[in-house]
Amino acid sequence: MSPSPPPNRVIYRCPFIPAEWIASHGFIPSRITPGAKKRTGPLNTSEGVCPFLNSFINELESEKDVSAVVFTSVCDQMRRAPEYLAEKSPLPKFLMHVPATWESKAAQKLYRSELHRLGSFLVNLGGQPASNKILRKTMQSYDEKRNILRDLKSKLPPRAFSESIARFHRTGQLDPIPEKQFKSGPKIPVALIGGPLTAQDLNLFDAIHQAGGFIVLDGTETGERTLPRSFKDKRLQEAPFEELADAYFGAIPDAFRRPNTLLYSWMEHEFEAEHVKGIILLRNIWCDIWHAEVHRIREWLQMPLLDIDLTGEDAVSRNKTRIHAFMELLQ
Amino acid sequence: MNDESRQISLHEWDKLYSEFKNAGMIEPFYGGPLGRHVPEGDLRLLSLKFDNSPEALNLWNFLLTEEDRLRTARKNGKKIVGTMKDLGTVPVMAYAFSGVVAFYPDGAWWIPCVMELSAGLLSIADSLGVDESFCPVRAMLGAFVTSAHFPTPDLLICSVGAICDDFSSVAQRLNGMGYPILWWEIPHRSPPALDESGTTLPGGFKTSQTLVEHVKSELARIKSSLEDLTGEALDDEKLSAGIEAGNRIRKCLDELRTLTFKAEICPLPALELLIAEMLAIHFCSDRDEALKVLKGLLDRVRKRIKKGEGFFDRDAVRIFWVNPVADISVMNLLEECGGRICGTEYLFTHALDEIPAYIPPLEALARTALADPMIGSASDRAERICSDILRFGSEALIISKIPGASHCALEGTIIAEKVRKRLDIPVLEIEVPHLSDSIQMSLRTRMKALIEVVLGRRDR
Repeated sequence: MSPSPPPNRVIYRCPFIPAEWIASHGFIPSRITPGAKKRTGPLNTSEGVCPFLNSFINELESEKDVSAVVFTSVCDQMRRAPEYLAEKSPLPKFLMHVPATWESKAAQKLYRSELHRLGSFLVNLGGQPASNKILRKTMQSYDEKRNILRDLKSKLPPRAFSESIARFHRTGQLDPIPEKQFKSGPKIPVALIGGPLTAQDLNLFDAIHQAGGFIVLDGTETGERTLPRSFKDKRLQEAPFEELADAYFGAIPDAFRRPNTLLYSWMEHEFEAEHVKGIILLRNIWCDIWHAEVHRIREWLQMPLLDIDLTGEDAVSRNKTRIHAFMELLQ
Repeated sequence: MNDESRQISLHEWDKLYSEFKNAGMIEPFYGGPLGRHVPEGDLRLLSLKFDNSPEALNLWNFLLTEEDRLRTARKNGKKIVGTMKDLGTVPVMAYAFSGVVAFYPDGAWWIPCVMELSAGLLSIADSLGVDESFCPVRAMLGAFVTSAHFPTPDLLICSVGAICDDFSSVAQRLNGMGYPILWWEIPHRSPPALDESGTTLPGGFKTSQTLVEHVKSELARIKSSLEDLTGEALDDEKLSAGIEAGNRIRKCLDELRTLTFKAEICPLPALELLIAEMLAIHFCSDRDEALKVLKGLLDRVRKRIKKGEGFFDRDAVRIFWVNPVADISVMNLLEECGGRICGTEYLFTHALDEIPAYIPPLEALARTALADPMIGSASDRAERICSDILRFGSEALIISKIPGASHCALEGTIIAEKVRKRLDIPVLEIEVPHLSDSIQMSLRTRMKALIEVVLGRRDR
């Protein structure tokens, strides 16, 4: 019997970790969407703990062929997770600092420096150093796939599109492309915005659809908002690493950034482009970063907003009535 | 006049004040009877117990008149700089300028306690969408809206990155309300790479020189902004002088803490020591006066130790306290239960350690900023706590969780586990809201239980 191949998946959650960077070091980047909150696992405390963090950490046990887990500093609880796990999980762990500030050259330099530090970690784990040639080729491949992925939006129902994004992040592979465009019928266009979702949370898509809504934009961390921008050809050729860093760090809008003006510019642009009539904000309970934006988004956008907190339990039964009421309001 | 050390009520203080005045007590310009602060709204004073020395009176008056000092500074044409979150580093630079007064708007987190919610700051925060699921620092939003507690600063400087989400979110909310903020990045303090010797920071943590260089460049950016604000250039000589002045305060406080924690009989109660420590972070808006106040307390503590006198039972259980409390009356409660504070870690040990004077000043401040216990791992923090517990001879640990604070969810568990494993001492985790009156019985029971456990261990 031939020996099993060595584990080579690097698991992570944060959209600011470039998959291309991990892949160029010879590993399979796997940005996972956990199933649901689990009551058993390495994280056995729940008071004040983010349910998404709980899901992510407790899901690690069931993941196969894993070489390492990479965490980032984008939220305080994730930042502390690797040391909480230090003696509870044998998996090698890495914590990358993703700067909250983004406008200064110092912040951009720090992000690149942290990518290099991640690269050293991957090499020490048995990976290969990422040459410009390999990086360029990997970036081109991912860029092409992401462009195809973006095109899937017009061909798939909203939930299926978000699930395709999740599968792409997990495996690097694309779903088969349907031939025909997807037609929704007369429905109210709504946008989702917010933090990361578990697979269980995606049931909310069906609840919104059943209530008469059509999700024209998935601006949660799990959806299209956190895809990096397309690479610029010239820079990809001349300075692939710098282009990679800019396409991720310089372009992904998020609530944790300081200032988080990119997020508001993105929302303004996208909501207008998609003729959004209402916003549904999905945030994990204890997530201060998104919670603090609820009121501000309401004030700023002057559009109906439904605020749903996710507790790790089934979100649909708790919120069905509210979703229906919200859709009635938008009619 | 009776010189005996006692804890007294506010009412007793006002009687004692008259006696002190009649005996010729000379007060600083902000002096006066403590009771005068109550009509101004500081209602919590009515529930507290105070150290009965003139030096403690100065300390309280100094704290409670900060708002007046800030308004006077504005009137006199000084630039007011609101430094946020870094707790101890930027003010050292700010006070090196001649025309700047720096303070922490974060300090507004105590206003709901001191004013017993009468200032309405939390309701304002609620109305802005920042409710009780956030840490008490949300009161800062209300303070900015009312402008009743400090003048709106000329410049707001806020550290972000490896900080708690609550503060980051509250600061962003403030920014979203139209307050411009100069954001600067404090990175997570990672250990140096395996092939790197790294840089040792004040307090003993280690990190990579890359991070030191980054923070240095951020502090240079802050320096530049302060120079633009004031029209004053800050060269290395002036900055070094600012560091030296900051270090005088740190040295004085270090001696005060060490003497207090190690003394056989407690020479300074927990509440006064908590406030004294807070002076380290921004000098309560008057650096020179802060040093005088601390020196006064230090003299009093030395006298008490020499005489073999102080507060509480000689056998009071020696407690190490982690995290500041939202309700300061809980410090009195601990002492009522038979404990005394012998060691503290109030989130800012980097504001207590001396800033290195043997290296260029901006590098020195960068290393100081990176020594912040909150930007690294909780294990690092626990290591420092363990060595201080051994240094001060603490017998038990209390971790006071801050309601809603993002770091408390996992950090307390990590610290408790490490301390138990390394030192085998009992650990108690409690949570203290702005006003703890409704849970006092429960807190009292739990603290007393901890005290009993320690006393039982002594008998073994």
